[in-house]
Amino acid sequence: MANIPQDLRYTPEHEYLKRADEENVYYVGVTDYAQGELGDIVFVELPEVGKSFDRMAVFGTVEAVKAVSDLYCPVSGEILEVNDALDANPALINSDPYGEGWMVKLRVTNPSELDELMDAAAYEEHIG
Amino acid sequence: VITLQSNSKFKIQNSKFRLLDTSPAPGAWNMALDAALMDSVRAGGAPVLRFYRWSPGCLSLGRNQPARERYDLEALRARGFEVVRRPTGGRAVLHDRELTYSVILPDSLLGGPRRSYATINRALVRGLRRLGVAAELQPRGRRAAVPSLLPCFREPAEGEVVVGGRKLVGSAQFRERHVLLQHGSLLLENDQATVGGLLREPSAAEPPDDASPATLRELLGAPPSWKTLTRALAKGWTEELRVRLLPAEPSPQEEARATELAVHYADPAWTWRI
Repeated sequence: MANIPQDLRYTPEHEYLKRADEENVYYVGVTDYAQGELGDIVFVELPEVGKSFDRMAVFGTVEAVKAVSDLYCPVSGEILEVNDALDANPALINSDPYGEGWMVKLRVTNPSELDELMDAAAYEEHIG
Repeated sequence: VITLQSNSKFKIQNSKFRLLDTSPAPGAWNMALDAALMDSVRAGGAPVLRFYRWSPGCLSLGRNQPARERYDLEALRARGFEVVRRPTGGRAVLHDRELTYSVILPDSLLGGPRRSYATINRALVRGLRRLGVAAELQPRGRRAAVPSLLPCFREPAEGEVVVGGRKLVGSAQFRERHVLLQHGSLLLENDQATVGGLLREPSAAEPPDDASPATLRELLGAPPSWKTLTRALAKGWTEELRVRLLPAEPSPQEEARATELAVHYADPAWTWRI
C-alpha cells in the first residue's frame, strides 16, 4: 500500500504539497504511489530559483527507467529553493518521497488554489 | 507527474490509429515530426504508429545523458553521421542500419510508464515473432541504469525487447502534457559498437560485460525487407492492442509544425545542453 500522509495536499497528477515553516510556503514532490509506479528515478530536471509558474505549468521533468515525464506546478507560485541533493541522488525520490525526496520549495501566490487540491482521503480514493 | 491509470473513457480496443511510414530524413526532422504528432494527438487527433529511417545516419542522445565535449565531432563528420538529442530518456543510439518506430497517444490510454512500456513492447514482440524471431520482454532486474555515456544497446532495461537476454529493440518515452511518445530502434545490423568509438575517450563506454545486441541479420540470416518488416510489426500491433491501423501521411499542418520544431532539435544549444 502506498503511504499517504494525512497532513498533505495532493493533485490528480500524483504530486503533493507539504507545508513548510513559513506562511504560504510548501514543499512540492511526487507521491509514494507515483514513485512506485514510475520505477527507479534516474534524473530530475528542476527550475531555477526565483522563477514563477502558473498553476499546471510544467516546471521540470523526471526520468524513471527511460521514461521522461513532466512535472506540473500544482498551484501558482515562485520557486524559493530546489533540492540540489537530487542531482547526485535522484533515488531519494524513491526512498523518501515526502522527506529527502522533495523537489522544490514553492511560495504560493494564489492561496485560494490550495482549496482545489485533494486531502489524503480524496487522494486515496483517487488512486483506488 | 503523470496519468497512471487507464481512463475508461478512452478504450483503446477498436480505436483507430494512423499508420505512418515516413521517408528517410535527418535526425532533427525525425524528432520534430514525432513532437508535431504529439501536438496533433493533444489537439484530439487519432493516435499514431509511425515507422521511419534516418538519412544521413544519426547518433541520437538521451534527453538527460551527458554529451557536451564528450563526443569526437571529427569522427562523427568523417563517418557522415549527424547528432540529435531526443526528447525521450535513455542513452545514445546510432540510427543507421535499423528501423525506428514511434507511438503517440493520449497517456490515459495505456497507463503509467511501466505498464505502457510493457504493452507497446509486447506488440513489438508479437510482430517480431511473426518473422520467426524468438523475442521476449526483459524481466525486472537490478536498479535502472542512469542516462550515462554507455550506448543504449549495452544493457537491456526492464520490459525491453530482447532475444536470449540480448537487446534487440531499445525504446524510451516522453510524457508531455498528457500525451505519450514512445519511440525505439530495432537493429537490422550490428553497428552499435560504433557508438563507443565516437566518444573522445572511448573508455567511457567500456562495458561492464560485453553483451553485444541482437540484430535481425544475425537472427534471420538477412534482415527482412522494409515492407515485410513493417507489415509484421503493424500486424503485431493490431493483434496485441486490438486496434485498427489506417495508412496515412503527415498532414500539411503537421509538416509545418515539424518544420518549426526542427529548428529546436537542430540547435546545438539543445544537442549539447549537458
